[in-house]
Amino acid sequence: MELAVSQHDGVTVVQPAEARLDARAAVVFKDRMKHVIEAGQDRVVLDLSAVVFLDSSGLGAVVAAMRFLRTGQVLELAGLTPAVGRVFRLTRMDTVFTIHPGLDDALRAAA
Amino acid sequence: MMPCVPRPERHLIAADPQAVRDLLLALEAGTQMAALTPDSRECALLVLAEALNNVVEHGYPDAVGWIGLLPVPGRAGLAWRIVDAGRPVPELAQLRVAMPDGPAEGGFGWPLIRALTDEVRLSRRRGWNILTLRMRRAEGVLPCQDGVSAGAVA
Repeated sequence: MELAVSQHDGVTVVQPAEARLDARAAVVFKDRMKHVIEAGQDRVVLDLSAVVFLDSSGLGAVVAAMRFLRTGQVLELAGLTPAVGRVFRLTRMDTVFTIHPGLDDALRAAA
Repeated sequence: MMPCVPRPERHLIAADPQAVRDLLLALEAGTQMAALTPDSRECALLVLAEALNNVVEHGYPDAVGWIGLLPVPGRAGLAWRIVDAGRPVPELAQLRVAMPDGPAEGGFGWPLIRALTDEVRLSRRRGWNILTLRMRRAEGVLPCQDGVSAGAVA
């Protein structure tokens, strides 16, 4: 599970390069998110627009990444594809995160 | 010439996350799910992912093992049986079916399965777990999208 990381004005953007955030990818994803968040700016946006499949292990890894946030730092989501958005809604984890329709919306939004 | 009759899909995989992923990709491209709507197919694949991952994680926690998957009579692509020789699965009644309350890193698997199925049957025979899943159709009101169905089984 490779993560592409880019820095914008006040925002660190993380983009998984693979289409599946599943039980196979979850452990590595969480480990890499830890490093990205620890080195990240106060807003970290996880752009999931390339992810077409998310299972509960992948969901758990996204939620677990919040543990690595320092005080004042936030993790937001963007670009949920229909199948990924469904998992967030069914599990009500859509209420836990700020979710932007797309990355551009996330970058325009104020923290 | 033999008539061209599709053979039922039957799968036997190693109980590991990569094999589960490969199987789900094969199912997505296979004939059984070809006639389903994208919503129904995605929900069915999610249910199978959760059930198969459960076997990997809890059925064979420290051992190599196998998992069988075969379609059962019913709506094509929406009725499946999973067989394994791993540890016994707890009684269904004991499995938590309510979604975790608030941020959680686990505990979503069975609630997702129950939210997206009409019927879940579990039995243990000759040392094998046999889990039969009948998926909820996602057409029409898209019950699998709005989370309403999650409350129906709680």
